[in-house]
Amino acid sequence: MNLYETTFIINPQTDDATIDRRVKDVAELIAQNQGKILYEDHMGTRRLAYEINGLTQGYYASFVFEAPTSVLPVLNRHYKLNEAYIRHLTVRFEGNADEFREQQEPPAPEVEEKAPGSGRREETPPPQAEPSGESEEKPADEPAETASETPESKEDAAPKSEPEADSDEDLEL
Amino acid sequence: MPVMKGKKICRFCDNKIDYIDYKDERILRRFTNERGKIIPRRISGNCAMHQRKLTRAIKRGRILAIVAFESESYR
Repeated sequence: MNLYETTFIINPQTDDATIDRRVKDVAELIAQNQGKILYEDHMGTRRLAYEINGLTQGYYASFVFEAPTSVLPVLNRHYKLNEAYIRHLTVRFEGNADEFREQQEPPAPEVEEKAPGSGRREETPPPQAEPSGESEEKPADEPAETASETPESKEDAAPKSEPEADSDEDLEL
Repeated sequence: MPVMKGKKICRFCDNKIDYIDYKDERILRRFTNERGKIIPRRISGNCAMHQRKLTRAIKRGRILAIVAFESESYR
Protein backbone atom coordinates (compact mmCIF):
# COMPACT_ATOMS: atom_id res chain seq x y z
CA MET A 1 0.00 0.00 0.00
CA ASN A 2 1.25 3.43 -0.92
CA LEU A 3 0.16 6.92 -0.11
CA TYR A 4 -1.14 8.98 -2.98
CA GLU A 5 -2.80 12.27 -3.47
CA THR A 6 -5.05 12.87 -6.41
CA THR A 7 -6.32 16.30 -7.38
CA PHE A 8 -8.66 17.03 -10.24
CA ILE A 9 -10.57 19.89 -11.79
CA ILE A 10 -14.15 19.44 -12.95
CA ASN A 11 -15.85 21.65 -15.48
CA PRO A 12 -17.91 24.02 -13.34
CA GLN A 13 -20.50 24.49 -16.06
CA THR A 14 -21.85 21.03 -15.42
CA ASP A 15 -24.67 21.02 -12.88
CA ASP A 16 -24.02 20.56 -9.20
CA ALA A 17 -25.41 17.05 -9.04
CA THR A 18 -23.04 15.91 -11.76
CA ILE A 19 -20.07 17.53 -10.08
CA ASP A 20 -20.96 15.73 -6.88
CA ARG A 21 -21.27 12.47 -8.68
CA ARG A 22 -17.93 12.90 -10.43
CA VAL A 23 -16.25 13.55 -7.09
CA LYS A 24 -17.92 10.49 -5.61
CA ASP A 25 -16.93 8.44 -8.64
CA VAL A 26 -13.28 8.95 -7.78
CA ALA A 27 -13.86 8.05 -4.14
CA GLU A 28 -15.72 4.91 -5.09
CA LEU A 29 -13.10 3.91 -7.59
CA ILE A 30 -10.44 4.14 -4.91
CA ALA A 31 -12.54 2.16 -2.47
CA GLN A 32 -13.31 -0.52 -5.04
CA ASN A 33 -9.60 -1.12 -5.57
CA GLN A 34 -8.71 -1.83 -1.95
CA GLY A 35 -7.90 1.80 -1.35
CA LYS A 36 -8.67 3.76 1.74
CA ILE A 37 -9.32 7.48 1.72
CA LEU A 38 -7.56 9.31 4.51
CA TYR A 39 -8.47 12.86 3.73
CA GLU A 40 -10.66 14.68 1.26
CA ASP A 41 -10.64 18.30 0.37
CA HIS A 42 -13.34 19.91 -1.73
CA MET A 43 -11.82 23.22 -2.60
CA GLY A 44 -14.77 24.24 -4.73
CA THR A 45 -14.76 26.59 -7.66
CA ARG A 46 -11.55 28.50 -8.13
CA ARG A 47 -10.20 30.72 -10.84
CA LEU A 48 -7.83 28.97 -13.22
CA ALA A 49 -4.41 30.51 -13.70
CA TYR A 50 -4.82 30.07 -17.43
CA GLU A 51 -7.68 29.30 -19.71
CA ILE A 52 -8.42 25.64 -20.36
CA ASN A 53 -10.78 24.91 -23.27
CA GLY A 54 -12.26 28.36 -22.91
CA LEU A 55 -12.94 27.93 -19.21
CA THR A 56 -11.71 30.42 -16.65
CA GLN A 57 -12.94 28.62 -13.55
CA GLY A 58 -12.81 25.06 -12.32
CA TYR A 59 -14.15 22.97 -9.50
CA TYR A 60 -11.23 21.56 -7.50
CA ALA A 61 -11.25 18.52 -5.25
CA SER A 62 -8.53 16.30 -3.91
CA PHE A 63 -8.15 13.05 -2.02
CA VAL A 64 -5.30 11.66 0.02
CA PHE A 65 -5.53 7.90 0.02
CA GLU A 66 -3.71 4.71 0.71
CA ALA A 67 -3.92 2.13 -2.02
CA PRO A 68 -2.01 -0.45 -4.01
CA THR A 69 -0.34 0.67 -7.23
CA SER A 70 -3.03 -1.01 -9.30
CA VAL A 71 -5.42 1.86 -8.61
CA LEU A 72 -3.43 4.35 -10.62
CA PRO A 73 -4.11 3.07 -14.14
CA VAL A 74 -7.77 2.62 -13.25
CA LEU A 75 -7.96 6.16 -11.95
CA ASN A 76 -6.15 7.65 -14.92
CA ARG A 77 -8.39 5.82 -17.33
CA HIS A 78 -11.45 7.09 -15.51
CA TYR A 79 -10.20 10.67 -15.72
CA LYS A 80 -9.41 10.39 -19.39
CA LEU A 81 -12.68 8.80 -20.40
CA ASN A 82 -14.85 11.34 -18.72
CA GLU A 83 -14.93 14.78 -20.24
CA ALA A 84 -16.12 16.48 -17.07
CA TYR A 85 -12.58 16.28 -15.71
CA ILE A 86 -10.56 19.03 -17.28
CA ARG A 87 -7.31 18.40 -15.38
CA HIS A 88 -6.08 15.69 -13.04
CA LEU A 89 -2.89 14.89 -11.18
CA THR A 90 -2.06 11.91 -9.02
CA VAL A 91 1.21 11.98 -7.11
CA ARG A 92 2.80 10.26 -4.18
CA PHE A 93 1.73 12.06 -1.04
CA GLU A 94 4.76 13.53 0.70
CA GLY A 95 3.10 15.34 3.56
CA ASN A 96 2.49 13.98 7.00
CA ALA A 97 -0.26 11.39 6.76
CA ASP A 98 -0.11 10.33 10.39
CA GLU A 99 -2.53 12.98 11.56
CA PHE A 100 -5.11 11.77 9.08
CA ARG A 101 -4.74 8.26 10.39
CA GLU A 102 -5.11 9.35 13.99
CA GLN A 103 -8.31 11.15 13.16
CA GLN A 104 -9.71 8.18 11.34
CA GLU A 105 -9.00 5.66 14.06
CA PRO A 106 -9.80 7.29 17.39
CA PRO A 107 -9.36 4.13 19.52
CA ALA A 108 -5.63 4.12 18.88
CA PRO A 109 -3.09 2.47 21.23
CA GLU A 110 -2.74 5.65 23.24
CA VAL A 111 -6.23 6.30 24.50
CA GLU A 112 -6.01 9.67 26.21
CA GLU A 113 -5.92 13.18 24.71
CA LYS A 114 -7.80 12.83 21.46
CA ALA A 115 -11.56 13.10 21.58
CA PRO A 116 -12.97 10.40 19.32
CA GLY A 117 -15.58 12.68 17.78
CA SER A 118 -13.13 15.13 16.21
CA GLY A 119 -14.37 15.81 12.71
CA ARG A 120 -11.63 15.37 10.18
CA ARG A 121 -12.90 18.09 7.89
CA GLU A 122 -12.13 20.68 10.54
CA GLU A 123 -8.48 19.87 10.71
CA THR A 124 -6.29 21.54 8.14
CA PRO A 125 -3.82 19.46 6.17
CA PRO A 126 -0.16 19.57 7.24
CA PRO A 127 1.12 22.06 4.63
CA GLN A 128 -0.85 24.87 6.23
CA ALA A 129 1.24 24.70 9.36
CA GLU A 130 2.61 28.20 9.03
CA PRO A 131 0.14 30.16 11.12
CA SER A 132 0.85 28.11 14.23
CA GLY A 133 4.52 28.99 14.20
CA GLU A 134 3.57 32.59 13.81
CA SER A 135 1.16 32.63 16.72
CA GLU A 136 3.51 31.00 19.18
CA GLU A 137 5.97 33.76 18.96
CA LYS A 138 4.11 36.93 19.56
CA PRO A 139 3.13 38.31 16.18
CA ALA A 140 3.11 42.09 16.34
CA ASP A 141 6.28 43.04 18.11
CA GLU A 142 8.61 44.53 15.58
CA PRO A 143 7.57 44.68 11.95
CA ALA A 144 11.05 43.96 10.70
CA GLU A 145 11.31 40.88 12.85
CA THR A 146 8.05 39.35 11.84
CA ALA A 147 8.63 40.08 8.21
CA SER A 148 11.37 37.52 7.97
CA GLU A 149 9.42 34.97 9.90
CA THR A 150 6.21 34.88 7.91
CA PRO A 151 6.36 34.16 4.23
CA GLU A 152 2.57 34.06 4.38
CA SER A 153 1.87 37.72 4.89
CA LYS A 154 2.69 39.59 1.75
CA GLU A 155 2.62 43.10 3.12
CA ASP A 156 4.95 42.37 5.98
CA ALA A 157 7.56 40.79 3.77
CA ALA A 158 7.50 43.54 1.19
CA PRO A 159 10.24 45.73 2.66
CA LYS A 160 12.61 42.78 2.67
CA SER A 161 13.77 43.48 -0.86
CA GLU A 162 12.48 40.70 -3.02
CA PRO A 163 11.40 41.29 -6.58
CA GLU A 164 8.49 38.87 -6.20
CA ALA A 165 6.79 40.99 -3.58
CA ASP A 166 4.84 43.15 -6.01
CA SER A 167 4.30 40.42 -8.53
CA ASP A 168 1.18 39.04 -6.91
CA GLU A 169 -1.11 41.55 -8.50
CA ASP A 170 0.59 41.55 -11.87
CA LEU A 171 -0.15 37.91 -12.35
CA GLU A 172 -3.87 38.47 -12.49
CA LEU A 173 -5.01 37.85 -16.01
CA MET B 1 26.23 42.62 -7.01
CA PRO B 2 23.60 44.43 -5.00
CA VAL B 3 24.25 45.26 -1.40
CA MET B 4 23.17 42.40 0.82
CA LYS B 5 20.65 43.44 3.41
CA GLY B 6 21.50 41.13 6.26
CA LYS B 7 21.90 37.41 6.06
CA LYS B 8 19.61 35.50 3.76
CA ILE B 9 17.49 32.93 5.46
CA CYS B 10 15.41 30.15 4.08
CA ARG B 11 11.81 31.05 4.92
CA PHE B 12 10.77 27.44 4.99
CA CYS B 13 13.49 26.38 7.39
CA ASP B 14 12.71 29.37 9.53
CA ASN B 15 9.05 28.41 9.77
CA LYS B 16 9.81 24.71 9.98
CA ILE B 17 7.74 23.90 6.93
CA ASP B 18 8.56 20.47 5.69
CA TYR B 19 5.98 19.94 2.99
CA ILE B 20 5.16 22.52 0.36
CA ASP B 21 1.66 22.04 -0.96
CA TYR B 22 1.23 22.42 -4.70
CA LYS B 23 -2.35 23.55 -4.12
CA ASP B 24 -1.33 26.52 -1.99
CA GLU B 25 -1.58 29.37 -4.42
CA ARG B 26 -0.21 32.01 -2.07
CA ILE B 27 3.10 30.26 -1.50
CA LEU B 28 3.55 29.38 -5.15
CA ARG B 29 2.76 32.93 -6.27
CA ARG B 30 5.17 34.34 -3.75
CA PHE B 31 8.09 32.52 -5.29
CA THR B 32 7.34 33.26 -8.93
CA ASN B 33 7.86 36.56 -10.68
CA GLU B 34 5.29 38.44 -12.72
CA ARG B 35 6.13 36.35 -15.76
CA GLY B 36 5.46 33.19 -13.87
CA LYS B 37 9.12 32.22 -13.63
CA ILE B 38 10.43 30.54 -10.53
CA ILE B 39 12.53 32.95 -8.47
CA PRO B 40 16.10 31.65 -8.17
CA ARG B 41 17.54 30.61 -4.88
CA ARG B 42 20.16 33.30 -5.12
CA ILE B 43 17.39 35.89 -4.81
CA SER B 44 14.87 34.20 -2.57
CA GLY B 45 17.46 32.84 -0.17
CA ASN B 46 15.88 29.40 0.05
CA CYS B 47 18.02 26.46 1.02
CA ALA B 48 18.69 23.82 -1.60
CA MET B 49 16.29 21.30 -0.15
CA HIS B 50 13.38 23.69 0.04
CA GLN B 51 14.08 25.22 -3.35
CA ARG B 52 13.86 21.72 -4.77
CA LYS B 53 10.58 21.05 -3.03
CA LEU B 54 9.24 24.43 -4.01
CA THR B 55 10.21 23.95 -7.64
CA ARG B 56 8.39 20.67 -7.75
CA ALA B 57 5.33 22.20 -6.09
CA ILE B 58 5.27 25.08 -8.58
CA LYS B 59 5.57 22.73 -11.53
CA ARG B 60 2.73 20.62 -10.22
CA GLY B 61 0.71 23.74 -9.54
CA ARG B 62 1.17 24.75 -13.16
CA ILE B 63 -0.32 21.49 -14.35
CA LEU B 64 -3.38 22.10 -12.20
CA ALA B 65 -3.74 25.73 -13.34
CA ILE B 66 -3.04 27.03 -9.85
CA VAL B 67 -0.12 29.12 -11.08
CA ALA B 68 0.46 30.12 -14.67
CA PHE B 69 3.10 28.60 -16.89
CA GLU B 70 3.64 32.00 -18.37
CA SER B 71 1.97 35.36 -18.16
CA GLU B 72 1.59 37.73 -21.09
CA SER B 73 4.75 39.56 -22.08
CA TYR B 74 5.16 42.90 -20.41
CA ARG B 75 7.09 44.79 -23.04
